[in-house]
Amino acid sequence: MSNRRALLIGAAEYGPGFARLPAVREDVRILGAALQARGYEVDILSDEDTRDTVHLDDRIRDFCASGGPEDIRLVYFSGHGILADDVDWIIPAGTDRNAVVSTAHRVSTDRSRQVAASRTGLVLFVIDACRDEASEPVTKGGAGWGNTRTQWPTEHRFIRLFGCASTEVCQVLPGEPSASVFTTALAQSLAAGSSTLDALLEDVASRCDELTLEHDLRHQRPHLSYGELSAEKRALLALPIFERTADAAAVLPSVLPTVWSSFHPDKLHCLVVLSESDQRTGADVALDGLVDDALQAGTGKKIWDAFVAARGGHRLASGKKRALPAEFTSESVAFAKFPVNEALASVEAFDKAVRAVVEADLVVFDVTAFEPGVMLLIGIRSACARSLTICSHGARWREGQPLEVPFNLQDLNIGSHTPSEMMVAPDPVLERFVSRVEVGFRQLARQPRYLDLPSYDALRELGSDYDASSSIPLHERVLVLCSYAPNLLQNWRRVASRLRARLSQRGNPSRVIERVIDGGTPQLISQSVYELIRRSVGCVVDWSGYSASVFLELGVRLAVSEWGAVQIVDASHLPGGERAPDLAQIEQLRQLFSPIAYQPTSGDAVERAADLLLERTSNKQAEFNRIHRALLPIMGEVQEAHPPLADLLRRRADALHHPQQEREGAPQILFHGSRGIKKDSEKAACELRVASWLYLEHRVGHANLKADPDALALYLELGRAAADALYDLGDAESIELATYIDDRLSALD
Amino acid sequence: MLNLSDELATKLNQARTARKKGDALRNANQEERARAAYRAGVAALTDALRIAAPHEALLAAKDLPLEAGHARMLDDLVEIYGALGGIHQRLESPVEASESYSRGAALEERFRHRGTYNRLNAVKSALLAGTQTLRASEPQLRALAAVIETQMQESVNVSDSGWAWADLGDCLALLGDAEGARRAYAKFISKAETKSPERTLQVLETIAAKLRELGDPDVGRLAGAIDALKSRLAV
Repeated sequence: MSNRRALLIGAAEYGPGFARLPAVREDVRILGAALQARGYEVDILSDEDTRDTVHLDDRIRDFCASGGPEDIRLVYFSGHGILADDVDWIIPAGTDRNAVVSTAHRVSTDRSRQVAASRTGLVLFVIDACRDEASEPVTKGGAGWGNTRTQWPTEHRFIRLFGCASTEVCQVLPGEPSASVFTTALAQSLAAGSSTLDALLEDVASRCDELTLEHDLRHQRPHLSYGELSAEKRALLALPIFERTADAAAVLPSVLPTVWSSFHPDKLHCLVVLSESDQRTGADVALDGLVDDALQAGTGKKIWDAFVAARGGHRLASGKKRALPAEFTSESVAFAKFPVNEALASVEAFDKAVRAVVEADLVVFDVTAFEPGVMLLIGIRSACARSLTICSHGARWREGQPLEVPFNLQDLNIGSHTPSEMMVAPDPVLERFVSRVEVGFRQLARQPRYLDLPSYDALRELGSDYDASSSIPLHERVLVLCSYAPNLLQNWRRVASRLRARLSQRGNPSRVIERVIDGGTPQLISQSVYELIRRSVGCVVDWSGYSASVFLELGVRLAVSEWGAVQIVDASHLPGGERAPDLAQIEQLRQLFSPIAYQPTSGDAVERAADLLLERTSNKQAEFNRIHRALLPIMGEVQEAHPPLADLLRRRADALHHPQQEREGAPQILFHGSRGIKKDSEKAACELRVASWLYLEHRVGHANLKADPDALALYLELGRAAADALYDLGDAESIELATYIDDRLSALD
Repeated sequence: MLNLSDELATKLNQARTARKKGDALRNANQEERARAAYRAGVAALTDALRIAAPHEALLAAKDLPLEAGHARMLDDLVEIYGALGGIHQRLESPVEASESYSRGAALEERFRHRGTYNRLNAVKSALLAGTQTLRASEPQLRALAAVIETQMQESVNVSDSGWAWADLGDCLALLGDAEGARRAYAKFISKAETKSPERTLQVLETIAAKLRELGDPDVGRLAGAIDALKSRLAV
């Protein structure tokens, strides 16, 4: 359920150099009442938090990030403000005038980066604070506030509403109790029914004119600050965000409406991503219908049980626990679906799709025709989630038949949703799908390194050297991800040559500009490509040919690298060009990512790409990858936490030599027929158990163990197995340690 | 409330640790402490038998096939008797060892249990006690070897188990099939913990010594198996 909330901040009392602002309390009161009347939940920040810069900043930051994609957050500040370093700041209550030279005593109003990193649908920051002229207690402003030099917020979901224009001052109405001109006009306008930001601004401006005229004050014109007026922004300004409604979902447009508004650790999140081809042909089983059927009663219970075995009780990096009930009900599953074209329709839709793709416990991708949009989303998922992913192909293809699979997906176990020719139940397509999901979750439960997509481990397991994960600078390498199709070889050569020339010309020659296959390493490409994708500062992605592998790699790159990718495409491959594929998503992708279109015979566009690469060295503050940034809070919520150390070591020991192995099953290690190898594994398992037990003994301690039955059971099990193994070793030191462990266990037994 | 199976598992674990401790101390020439550890193992297993007594009474009234719960009880009892016999043997209490193995063997036999440890050790105990000759043991040993081989064919889990191969190797060794024993011991050494075959070798050597002392005419047949096991362990 989405919601609208407002955080009201009033700073009335200041230190020397700032005027007192008695009108502030009335401002907060009248605006709070007006917002509540429009359906907003209103919080008023305590005086204590308003006086503390850190608390004030934290509260605003947390509040801005607290919403879901359909939620609205309105922050209101009435107090003193200042323009410094081209940034509009608000001043915490109690601050001395002399102290504001330091950023430790002021709080930025530009929250665009935080909003960009959040999932909140819209953040509106209303600022009635332009009142730094201490000599004029009835005014509240200063020249330069909202000046054009100010950096405009770049995040389209973040809008500021200032109480006056640049060079004007915010003023206070005379009378008792007094209130600010702007806030009074704002509250009146809300009460009069202005529901959109456009309408509100116009009405508030008109009321400010009336109030200033009536009270013989100076002109004061409120204005919005929202950066470039994009189509998305224009749409936001026209939304009825102040319309009285119980459900804000009715206010913010709901893109991809079936996607859950937030991740619930106690549910199975299942997502189906449909392809454009499949939508067009309509010849196959509807994949979403197939998955929906599978999640019903009988088969749904099977899937749920397997899912609970894989994820139940696991902790997330956020600290939350996946407390999955044993019982399967209709509430157990959050199910969403969308065609890829809907996901690519706008920035909001794509962000929401990315979130769903990363959060879902089970994603079913329709890989029919291996479309670029679908591959992009698969790439993002493969980089972010070790979870269950089913890739399903339709278009009359059946499992077992030959299928040309993209290079990076050669290992994939692709299923089919081509309908069965059988006319009677049971439906083998459904049965096979359910079995695939069930088996997948069971394997996920058993195998710590389970994967059904490439890249996850290859991106992470780069070694423990301090520089193993460090960035590869631009002057060392530019990684080019492009199609290896023979007809595009000439394109690659020209692009590489022009990049090289331009970088040299700009004084930044790059030692290597190469594709993954050019590196000459004997390492598996599936390992080396993802390491380079993660580490290379300079990455050029050439869309030409729309290779499925390239779009998968692009998805991985956009997910994991703060440096983003410079995207280019041969103009003849864009819609309208002679080599453009007949897919609507190509134009959508172009709208979303704006690749630089080049002519193979001309160098200008590639030179622009090289210049963009160079920005990565010259402008360290810039943001190069919105998608990676947007993924950070999502990953923080859904990534599994590292398992507790003792448990981790126990599992590693068991995987080498399980205490029950001798009588229950074959040894875990390969080549166990070699006595030396087996002895080494048993010894390693013993030492892991000793380490784990000692950790529990000394780090957790008996008192805490007694309070935690699971930890206690692990302590006893580990101690027993470690002692057994030490006795088997039989040397004096091992016997001594084993006896010590034995005594400690007896003390607890 | 403590789960009965958990309680039994705890006692069995304690007994296993005590046995390993005793073995380690005995190898380190600390005989007194070793015997104390073995006695602690006997105490744990005696407790286990007391806990499992209602199971045994219940099983006495059951026939095949057993329900899953009863099959688990049987597993527990068979393991307790086998472990108790092993520790008594280390304490050089042949009568108690033989009695324990015999009770376990009776359960294995009656319920066609996949384990053969008690049955085999009942035979070995009789040989060590001098109450039976190698030749007289042959029918039992052949029957046991057949049971093990059948189980291995029927269940991959049994053929994965190091212990099953040890039992088969022992049967074949005692039957004088040195080549068969060599093959079985090779599997045993491959699948079991590195320490286990050393104990098997010790037992075989003890039996051979005892049979030689008793003048058993067939004792020579064990020599080939012992040599085979020794040579594999030297690799």
